[in-house]
Amino acid sequence: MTFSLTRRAVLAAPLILAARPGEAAVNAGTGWTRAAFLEAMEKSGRKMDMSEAAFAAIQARRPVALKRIETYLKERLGSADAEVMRAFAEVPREYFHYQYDARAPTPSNAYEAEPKPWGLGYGSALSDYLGQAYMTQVAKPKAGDVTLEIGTGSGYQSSILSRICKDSYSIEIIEPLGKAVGKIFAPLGYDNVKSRVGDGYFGWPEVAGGFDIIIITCAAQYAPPELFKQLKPGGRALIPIGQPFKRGQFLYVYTKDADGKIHSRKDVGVFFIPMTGTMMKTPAPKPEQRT
Amino acid sequence: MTPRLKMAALLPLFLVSSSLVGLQIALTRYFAVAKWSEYGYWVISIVLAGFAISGVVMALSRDWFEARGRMLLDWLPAFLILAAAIGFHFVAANPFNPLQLQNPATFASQIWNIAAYYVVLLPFFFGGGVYISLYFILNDREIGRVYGYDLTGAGAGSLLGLTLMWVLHPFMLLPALLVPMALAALFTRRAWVRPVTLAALAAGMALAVFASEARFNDYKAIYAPLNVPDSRVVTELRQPRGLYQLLDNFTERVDTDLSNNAGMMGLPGPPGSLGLYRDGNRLAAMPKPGALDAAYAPATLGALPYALLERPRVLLAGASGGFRIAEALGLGAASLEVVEPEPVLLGALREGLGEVPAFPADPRVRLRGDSPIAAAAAAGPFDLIDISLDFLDTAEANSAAFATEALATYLRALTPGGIVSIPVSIREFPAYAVRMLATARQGLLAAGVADVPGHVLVMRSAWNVRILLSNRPFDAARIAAAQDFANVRSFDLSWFPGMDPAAKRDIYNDLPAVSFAEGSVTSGDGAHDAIAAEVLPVLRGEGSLSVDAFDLAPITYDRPFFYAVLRLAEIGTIIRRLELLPQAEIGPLVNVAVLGQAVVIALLVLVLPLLGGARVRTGQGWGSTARAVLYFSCLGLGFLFVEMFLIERASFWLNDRSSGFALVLTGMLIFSGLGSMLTARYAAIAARAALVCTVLVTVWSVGVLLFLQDAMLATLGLPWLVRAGLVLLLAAPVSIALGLFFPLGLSRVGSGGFLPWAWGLNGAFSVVSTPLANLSAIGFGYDRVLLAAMLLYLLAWLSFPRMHSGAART
Repeated sequence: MTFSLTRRAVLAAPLILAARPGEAAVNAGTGWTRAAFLEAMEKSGRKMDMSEAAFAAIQARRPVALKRIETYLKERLGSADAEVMRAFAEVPREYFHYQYDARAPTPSNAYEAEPKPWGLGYGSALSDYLGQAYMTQVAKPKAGDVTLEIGTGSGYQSSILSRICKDSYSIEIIEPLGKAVGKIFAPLGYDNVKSRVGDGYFGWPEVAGGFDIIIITCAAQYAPPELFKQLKPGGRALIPIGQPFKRGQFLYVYTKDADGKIHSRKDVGVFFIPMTGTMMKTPAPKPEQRT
Repeated sequence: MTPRLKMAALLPLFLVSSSLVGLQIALTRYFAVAKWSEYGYWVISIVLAGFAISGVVMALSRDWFEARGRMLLDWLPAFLILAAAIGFHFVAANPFNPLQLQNPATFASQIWNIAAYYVVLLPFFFGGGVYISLYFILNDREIGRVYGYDLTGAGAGSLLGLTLMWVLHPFMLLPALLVPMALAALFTRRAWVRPVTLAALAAGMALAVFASEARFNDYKAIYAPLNVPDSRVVTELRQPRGLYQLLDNFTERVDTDLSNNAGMMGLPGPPGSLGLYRDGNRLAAMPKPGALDAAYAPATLGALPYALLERPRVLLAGASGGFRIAEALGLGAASLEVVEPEPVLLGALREGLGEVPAFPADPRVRLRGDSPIAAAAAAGPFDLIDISLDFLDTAEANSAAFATEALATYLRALTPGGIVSIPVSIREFPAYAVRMLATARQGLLAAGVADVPGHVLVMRSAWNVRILLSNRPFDAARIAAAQDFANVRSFDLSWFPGMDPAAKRDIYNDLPAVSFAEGSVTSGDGAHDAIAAEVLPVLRGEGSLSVDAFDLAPITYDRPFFYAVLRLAEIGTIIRRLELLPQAEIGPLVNVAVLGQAVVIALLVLVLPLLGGARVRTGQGWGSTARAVLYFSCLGLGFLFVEMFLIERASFWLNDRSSGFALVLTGMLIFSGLGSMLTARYAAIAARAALVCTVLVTVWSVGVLLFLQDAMLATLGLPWLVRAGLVLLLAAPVSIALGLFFPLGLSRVGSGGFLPWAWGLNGAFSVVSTPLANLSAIGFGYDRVLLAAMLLYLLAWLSFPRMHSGAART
């Protein structure tokens, strides 16, 4: 099993390199204009209008937000992964701000100074960009990885992963949201994002070879065994825990060892600053407080 | 002598009071279903201050209201109907999302939404307060009967609301409960009142029924399952304890703590199921028609004790829709005494529910509806007492099953070497496991075990802990078996007798310790086990880091709180860490928010009437007015302290929070109303009657504090109806006495401007009382709440007004 997967990975390497996101894909850092934005919105079935000034205001906030992300990642994880930063620079976040139940575009909320989650309707929320950046870096995405997201939501997370990885698969369980969001990737040229509506419990078994990264953001009572079967050895499965309107969530990070056994790690780095284990284990003269 | 009021003159009050309480219950239900119950409690507690504000306004403008009293009483029902319907309309349209309150970046907009709730509901509650207060003013010679009709009307309204919950959807309760309000207009002869009130009723009902935007919050557990493709509601049950909906959709699976290695073990995952929801919150997975498949059982954390025992005789607390019964049988249980106190879940096991089949008859299985405490005492001994993971949250009264006294009962009901298996979720807050360990220590000590650590085994997955207790020390063979069990499943043994927590070991599920106060987390140095680091000191009764950070006092019958671990005195730290808090910790914080606002309102009610100068005095100077203010404030606080205590004890006795709440609320209102009607008999000897009532409350309280717990434990095995009768018997004498205090006091302060002030004080301090009682119970236990009530009534008696009726009119 391990051998065949490894061999497949080797055989696939040239394809992976060839399959890096093409030039047709939108890059918010270059050539992303109001006209391009409005055209993409219309093609995705979310036609809207916006003044040049309003669009410019959003673009003016973008570099500040990217700097905020970089600082945050360095503070929390020691460094800001260059690929993660590139993905966040390329994907136009304003395109994903939309109230699907009310059919109301809300792009002017993008790149807010105080990062926060935004409701999308249908019980879904666009998480705050710092939390998403944190989770993306913890997932350790690499070129050639294949990712699966259970709970498409806004589609932003899959879009980010698609800028780094070979393919991003995404399953949304809520039909009207999944159908609407399923239309938003093509207008951006993100043709390596594949989405569908349905039950995420069984993963996406048609994808031969499984996944390097699986993110499970909905309806998980436990980590579904079927998903672990589709996780490659050395792969990472992430389950964010906590209600969606907190600025961050606990992450349970699962890894599959070479024997196929699963190990887990509770990652609370969104909320807590790391200290060395020795410091935390040795009671101070005045006891610290812990959960 | 003033002619005695006819019953027909008081019936409108009875009807309006019943409608006011009924509508309050309807709003509470709306919030519980559409949002979350604690926020309904928040909003309704504060708008109830509308009653108190009405007292202040009337104290300051008594003459104006008195001159227009009859006219106002005739027209107010129509106003109240429209105010309730319009208020409800805007309540349902309010975009309040309580989840955003936990985020400093989204907090502010939600505060405005809460303020909007106050604005739209206040006219209704203020108008209601004016109506009742007017009755007191216009009938000040028969305060006792007026108060009696008010209270019995409230009791009847509560009964009506609870009865309608068997028939109507929670969102339809409000329009139905407008009807008694409209009936009040039948008793007037004023022209146009009846047709206008009828038109208001028609308009109000139309608005509440046809234009309502009431629906589940998008972020409640039921929302996604209701909205996935091909989802359907199989059946719906309407009950006072909740709106039950059985759903069929692809997200429904058995909830269990499954090993991530299940596939490697050659075991299937849990099967698909139906899902049962109560008020939009998931209650249990329910089996689909066909054989109940629990082949996954050996991969669960809950299977651990079965791996250590040979064909055990089991007491199982919580059937999890029947899946846990199938699991236990599959794991080798020789016999099962299954306790399922949640009535709908028990009914589903016995008779089926919608498409859910009844649990198939099996000679090894016996179903019970009582508590595991009663079952352990009555049907033991057992080799294993196994509590299901979802047992704690399926019914509020189930938290008593985790108390120190309950654990001691279980340990005594075990065969030698038997095991008690207790689950704790650590998905969000590992501190709950530490509290349970502290409780386990006390339980073992109470059962006569001296070497506590030797009798405990702790195993965990990433998300859950299982604490095993035994009346014999865990020996090497059992420890080795537990270690093997853990290794196969990637679980971690966080404690076994003889373990060195500091020794290096392989950890499958890295659980770093975090500092709640400092905001830091352990890192580096390999994987961590925050639970393992704390087990031994907690089992030895020594301080531990979590114990220092949180209130992890053992759970007891007097403090039956499994959750509520925050030290509320450290509110600064709590606010800084607001985003971390699980939903279970929000309730106490809501109480703090309500208490803060209620205190401000009470202070306003205390101070504002002073603007009225001599008009609001009792008639014999400010000194006696101060005594009267103290008296009525004490009554407002004391009544609800007694009520909260009784609700808690009745919940334990009946093993059901809903029926305990309904019986005590309705019973106390009706009995105290009857007590109030006795006032006229004792008006001439009011001081002596107040003394007798005080003595009665004191003797009753002392008796209850000394003997009630033992009496309840001795009668837990009696049929539910008998226990319900005993609850009413217990509540009756004290309620009758409590009902006398208010009118006896009013009969002494006369009919001046002080009368509505007294009404306002009673209302304002009632609003303070509920959160104060809740927080006191969390901090100090329910016995202290009753003790405080007793002292408040003693203080009330000491400040009993001294002047005679009529002396205060100015």
